[in-house]
Amino acid sequence: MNRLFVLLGIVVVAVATFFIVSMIGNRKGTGQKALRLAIDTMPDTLDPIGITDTTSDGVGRKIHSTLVRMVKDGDSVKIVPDLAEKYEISPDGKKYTFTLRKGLKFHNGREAKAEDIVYSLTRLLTAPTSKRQELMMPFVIGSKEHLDDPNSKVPLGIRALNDYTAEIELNAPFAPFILHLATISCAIVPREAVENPNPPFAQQPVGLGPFKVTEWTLNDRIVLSRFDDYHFGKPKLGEIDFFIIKEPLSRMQKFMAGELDASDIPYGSVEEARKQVAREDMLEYTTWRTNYIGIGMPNGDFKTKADLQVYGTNKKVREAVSYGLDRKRLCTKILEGRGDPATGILPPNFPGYKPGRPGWPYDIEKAKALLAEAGFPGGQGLPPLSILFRNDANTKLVVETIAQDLEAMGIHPALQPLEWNALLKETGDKPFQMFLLGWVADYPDPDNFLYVLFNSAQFGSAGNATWYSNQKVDELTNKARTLLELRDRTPIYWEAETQILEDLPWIPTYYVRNVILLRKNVKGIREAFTPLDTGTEFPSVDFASVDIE
Amino acid sequence: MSNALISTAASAAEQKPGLGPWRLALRRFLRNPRSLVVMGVLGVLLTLSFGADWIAPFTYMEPFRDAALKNPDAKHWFGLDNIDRDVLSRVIYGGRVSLTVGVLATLMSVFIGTVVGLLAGFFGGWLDALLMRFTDIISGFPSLLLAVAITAIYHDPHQDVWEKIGVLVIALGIVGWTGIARLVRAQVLSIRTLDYVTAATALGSSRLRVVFRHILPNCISPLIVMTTLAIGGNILGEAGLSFLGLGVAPPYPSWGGMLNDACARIENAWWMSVFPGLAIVITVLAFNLLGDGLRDAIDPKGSQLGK
Amino acid sequence: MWTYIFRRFLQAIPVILGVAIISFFFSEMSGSPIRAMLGPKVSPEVLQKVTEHYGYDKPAPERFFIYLSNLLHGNLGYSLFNAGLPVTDLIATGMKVTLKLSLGAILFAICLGLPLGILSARYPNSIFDYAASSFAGVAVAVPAFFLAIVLKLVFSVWLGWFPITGYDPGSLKHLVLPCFALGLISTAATARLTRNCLLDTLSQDYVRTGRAKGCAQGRVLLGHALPNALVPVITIIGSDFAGLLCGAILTETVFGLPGVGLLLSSAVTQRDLPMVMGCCIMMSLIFVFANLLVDISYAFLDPRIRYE
Repeated sequence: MNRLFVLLGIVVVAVATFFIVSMIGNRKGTGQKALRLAIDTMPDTLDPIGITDTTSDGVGRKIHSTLVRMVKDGDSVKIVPDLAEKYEISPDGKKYTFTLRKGLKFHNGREAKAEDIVYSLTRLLTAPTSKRQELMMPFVIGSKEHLDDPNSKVPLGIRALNDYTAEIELNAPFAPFILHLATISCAIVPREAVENPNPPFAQQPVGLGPFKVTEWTLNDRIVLSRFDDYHFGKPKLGEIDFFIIKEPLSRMQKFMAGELDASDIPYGSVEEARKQVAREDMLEYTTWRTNYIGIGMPNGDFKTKADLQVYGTNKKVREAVSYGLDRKRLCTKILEGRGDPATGILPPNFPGYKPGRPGWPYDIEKAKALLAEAGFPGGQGLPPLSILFRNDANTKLVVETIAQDLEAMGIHPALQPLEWNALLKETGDKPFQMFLLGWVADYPDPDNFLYVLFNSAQFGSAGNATWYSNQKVDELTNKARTLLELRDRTPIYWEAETQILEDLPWIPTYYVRNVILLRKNVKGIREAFTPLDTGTEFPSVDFASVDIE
Repeated sequence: MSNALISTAASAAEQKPGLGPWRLALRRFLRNPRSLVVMGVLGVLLTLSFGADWIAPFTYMEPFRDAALKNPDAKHWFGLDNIDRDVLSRVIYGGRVSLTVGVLATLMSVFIGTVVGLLAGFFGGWLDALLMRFTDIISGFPSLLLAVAITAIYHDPHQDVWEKIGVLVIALGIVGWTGIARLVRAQVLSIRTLDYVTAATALGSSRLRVVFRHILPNCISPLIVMTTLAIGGNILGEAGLSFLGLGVAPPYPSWGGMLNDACARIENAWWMSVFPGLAIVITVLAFNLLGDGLRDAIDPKGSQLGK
Repeated sequence: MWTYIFRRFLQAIPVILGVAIISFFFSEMSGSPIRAMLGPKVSPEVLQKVTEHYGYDKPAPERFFIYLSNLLHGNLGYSLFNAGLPVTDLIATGMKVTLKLSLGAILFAICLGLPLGILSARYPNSIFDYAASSFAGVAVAVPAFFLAIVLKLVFSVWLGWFPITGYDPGSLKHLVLPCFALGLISTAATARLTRNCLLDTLSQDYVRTGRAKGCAQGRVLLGHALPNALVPVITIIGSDFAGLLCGAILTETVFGLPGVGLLLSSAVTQRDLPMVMGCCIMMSLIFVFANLLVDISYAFLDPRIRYE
């Protein structure tokens, strides 16, 4: 009997623990004017050189600043100096000279100097935790040697000329290089904060941005507070809260309940959102992300790969597939308006975009006719087809819809889900028969689409996952890289894209539309967002000018 | 099995000469109304699943593009899903995967478990200790986690449905044999010391013969019950794996996979989640009740099998 | 008593070692995780550099040896994602949630299951007993995640009593539905087991003696029969709790609770190998420890067992 009571006592203690434990975590607000946002996962790192995903980019952009930045320019973007007062590019296109503004203060109070530029860009190349070395390598003189050996004697083409001037020298002219410097990974950071292990730089970095990190709680929240000495003026907001909320439905609910100022909309709930939320509280626009079906082509080492024949060699079959896809149904009904039917590789208003391309309006009869012309009437005689896709909810939806359209033509694909790592490996090591992927440019330059993805020097994991090879396209994209002015390069890219669309290594499906909830009383975002921004973090907006009324 | 059946057999033999213990069990089973209902339900399920091609009203992937409404109505009893497919047909086809994986995985578990249990119980000594340690290790892994790990690792981009089913069977089979092994071992240990086994060995039966003729048959009844329960458990396991996205590839339906699709659409498409879920519940319940019925038929006094 | 504990502890060590080996084996089989970290566009040199940095270019036995020696120092490694935090810290954070969830579920099981079982034993073969057994039977057949979905549908969407998903450290509202969903199966098992064990005990001689001596039915039931009947029940509750702690992946997914199960399933899909291995080992530690606790309380309650 006594023993039983002892055990019961233990149970009571457990109950008490339960209640105490659940009360932990109650917190009060700070009373500042705060913008409350939600992100679905804790950023892996806020150290610029390790940032590879859009969420970390969005958060990091409020903490860090770069020499130049991209700002809204009508429907597109343009580059403007940010930390740099001005910059010059030498006539031969190989030397970039930046003049740093005077009086720029890091969050720790120290003034920024040109040696900080050299430090930041060098560590982007040589630090072991860097993941974005390809922004510097192989373009900068000595970059390859320094990547292999940080103590290399070969001079590195990044140098400080004096306290406020820095110079970068390239191996060969490369027009998009200035855009590299506008990405978050090229942000300027102070050495003493990086080397100080407490607090860890990856969690609470020190930068030149309008906000600094004041709280970092794993899987709970990141709180950014206003940095009063921001060089462009004191930010209007006192604080930005990023809450980590994994469940998409939960984020939307919290927005409806008034606990968040912006939220994305979960798949399947766009209809609901439109019904329940006022139009002024929603924001939608087309982003610069093209989703596509890639077809592996038998080129390079894989000329004789058996399963690439027919789909990779017979253009009419690919054309048939493209005309047989009901993109409108996919975009309006299945994706609930989260896409726009694609008509080409480059998304609308992207630099180098050619308006007026006809695309492939849905015509199932034409598709069947093309298939018959190709020698496979009703799909008969076609070899077995596998389509690889990333195993997440949205992609699954798209691929199943595509499969329905293919079935209507007589093609019977086997759908193969793979998770991200495996998918990258499969499409990076060799050309795969057919796969679903999307491409979002690292920076707004047509080179980032057309060279990276379609030049035969980029086979495999470098970007050309279809192993597409066309001599004319190679020549055009090689040439356009070396010219400096966008207006000279644009006609070349038009021609290249036209040729690519004729060969159809990609069947572009849709451009992703961002449909989000954003309270109308949040000012400064609607005026400044660009198609580079997906989600709710808005990396291209300068949050110093964002305000809540 | 031995005590209960021997005594019942003895008393039965007095009443009705010629009826062996198995026939008696069968009669008891057939006399239990609950068991008959369960057999009926299982029969319907099996017919629906394997006769899906003829019974299902539509295919599992054709889109009904022009359908105005998606909720259940006269033409589509269970409604349409988010890409305009008929839910009823998908539920019917989905039964195939769930039942196949459930049964095959259980067979695999039973095979491995019986072998391990027999070896451990019969030979004892260091083999027993080794095998039981191994069993402890495997059962020390949370089972779903282990199954997730196994299925997630195996990624062949050219898999077809059967290959994937095989992977699921292996994953669930590897995870599920420990309980059976322990049960068989316990049975073997208790039977091994009984007189008639000693007698058989003394009379010169080889060890193999003793195992197969004397020990194994007496393990069968608790094993049967555990098997039916395991089938239910493996159906739940397959549903769980499919729910996490590790099941058969789309568009082939599976009940767990359909629940996965339905999760995001709870608010506006309740029919997408309720019907596949009910299918799982009814099937697993049927197998569990079958197990109960078998146990009541084979061992009505409950002397052998415990709780 | 202490020798018993020590013995059981020693028995646990090879189990944990075995788990470490098996989880390492599985991570080996799944290949290098570096590609997923770097994304779709990566040059071979960068890939090589990062692979070297994380040590994935070394041969497997060498890596396993390093891993084991770290393990013995209590270092479970660093996650490849999640801001590179130590695996132990991440698990601790997830545990806060999972602990609450498991405790809540077990509480449901005890508060609902025990009384049900006791009442069923008190009035065996009555309508109540029959209803309770049917309920238990059905409860075991329902997949936890389906139950979670149905509960969400009924209570959150249609009735609006509880929030649909999400997690708020300070409030209990968010935990009610998940705990119930998770706890239902334990409730059914507990109720059934309590009923059977109690019935068993009630037919024992010493109980009959007690009744013959004139004790009231209630006193007999609660004071004499119950404590002895509870012993196997405690075992089941204990191992259920251990199982729950090991991360109810499915329920956490449905309700969006950032517990250990969710951590683990995202680690598996992201190929965060150190995290996966760390979680496996941590979970088996919990399992072993919980079973140890149960065995000890068993031995504590029933002195006969200690002398095995």
